[in-house]
Amino acid sequence: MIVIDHLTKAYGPKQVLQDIHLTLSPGKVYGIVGENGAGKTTLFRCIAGLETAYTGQIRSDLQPLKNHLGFLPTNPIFLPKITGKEYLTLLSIARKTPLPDFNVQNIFDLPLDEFAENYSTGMKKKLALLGILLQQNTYFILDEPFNGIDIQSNMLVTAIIHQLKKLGKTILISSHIFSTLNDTCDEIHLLREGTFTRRVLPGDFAQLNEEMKQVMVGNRLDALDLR
Amino acid sequence: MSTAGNRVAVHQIGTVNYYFKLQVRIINRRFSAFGISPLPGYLLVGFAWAMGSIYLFQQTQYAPIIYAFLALGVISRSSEHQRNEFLAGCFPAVQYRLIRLLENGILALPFAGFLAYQGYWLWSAGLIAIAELFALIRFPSSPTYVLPTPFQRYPFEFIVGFRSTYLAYFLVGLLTYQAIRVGNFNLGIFAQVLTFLLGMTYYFRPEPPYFVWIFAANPRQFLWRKVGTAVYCASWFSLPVGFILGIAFPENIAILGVAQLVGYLLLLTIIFAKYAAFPAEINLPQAFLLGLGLWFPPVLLVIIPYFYRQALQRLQTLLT
Repeated sequence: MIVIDHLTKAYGPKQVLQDIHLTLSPGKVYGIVGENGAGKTTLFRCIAGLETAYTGQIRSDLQPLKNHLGFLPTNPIFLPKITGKEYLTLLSIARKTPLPDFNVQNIFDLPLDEFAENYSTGMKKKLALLGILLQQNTYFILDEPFNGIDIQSNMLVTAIIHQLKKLGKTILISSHIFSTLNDTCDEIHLLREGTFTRRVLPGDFAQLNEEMKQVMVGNRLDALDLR
Repeated sequence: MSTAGNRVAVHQIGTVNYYFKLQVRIINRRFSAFGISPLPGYLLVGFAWAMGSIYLFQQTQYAPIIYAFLALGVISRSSEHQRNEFLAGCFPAVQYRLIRLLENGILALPFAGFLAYQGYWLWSAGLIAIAELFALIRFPSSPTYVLPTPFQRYPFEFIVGFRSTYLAYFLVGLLTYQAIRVGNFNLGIFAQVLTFLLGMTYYFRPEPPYFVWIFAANPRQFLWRKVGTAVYCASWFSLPVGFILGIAFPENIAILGVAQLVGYLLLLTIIFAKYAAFPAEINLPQAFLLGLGLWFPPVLLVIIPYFYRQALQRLQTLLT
């Protein structure tokens, strides 16, 4: 379980997160939706411990939280001249987990003997995801896990999230593709200007989608005067 | 100035001129980030380069080879594929060629000038010719060929570093061979120390914080794991050189042992210095201390604990 209390974060005069409260329970999948710049990534980085100058509290039943957390960033970073296999080895030894059996556990059929920096966007995402899965984490933060990946892998990632849920893991996801949240989440939180404005349960997901369309699209297209 | 105004200004001063002014601005910003004003920065780099060059030519008769090798290493970086693709996309073909020829010429000039000053006119002319040839070539930025390394289970510094500098290890082999062939022990020691200097370069640049954050370790455990890996990996190159030299020069085994020990201490120093500045790059005072340690190794016994304490503090926010 992860409990976030009164989390507030600012970059200089710019308030990015304001008084965030969230409880993440085991075996549940939580979705975060919000416009670009709403504060999703900052929230994730605060939970991960990659941002430290915040006020409020982030507690977890396993300590320290970061040692049990798999964090998939929106744009995973790869070191130059490192192969997929070496990247996965680094992630495993960093957490002192057994070295992967690359022949069996390479479920995305990635070219692990090639340099990771030469992978396509989708392959990079899959390699980074595979890395945090092989670390045997208890908590997962997946920032845009479906970005850039093909339809087959999309289905596989959805199945992985369901499996993690069955195993009692705690999962926090952000996605701009609403259908992926619809397929995986137990509840969705709407983040607007650094504050949670709504908590939506599965029965109301369709309504939330419609409302978001209204807010985001509305009559903006008219302004373009497309002909 | 408005965007339109900028465009007019750029047009007036000429595209090539503007490009080089931009390069100077980027270098100035790097000096500022390093904690030094640009003018003293240029003077310091110039002084360090001159001293280094003089020192090298005083030490060995193979200095022209090593010097030309180093110069081409620096110049070849401007031929990196992605960078050239960007430049070729930005500028018309003639201006692009002109920029590349000029920048490689500027980079080669100090090295060629020093070679000429030392009387190596042929080497000087050859260096300029190869530098200008490099201006016409784009080196692949991310080669697809994966050079195998013995460090697969010890990512990542030596894997990345070895793949970037493997040619330098041929030079180490060549220097060791020459040292034994001509009975020059000092040259041999230089080869042994060079393996450590190469290892040190793998720790100059900080990795993204994510690659520190992933470690389930406290700062102390993290630092000593890094040290262990560095000592193990550096031994792959330094110990064989030391061993061969020990057979060839048995009367100097004690000196070889001391050089090996100092090499390990230098690795320790660079690792602690890197994380003392983390996530920023090593700054000027730290670089000065490092230089001091290289010049007079006994100082390392003071510098190492100083960097170690700073590194522990710096890592505290990412590792608990």
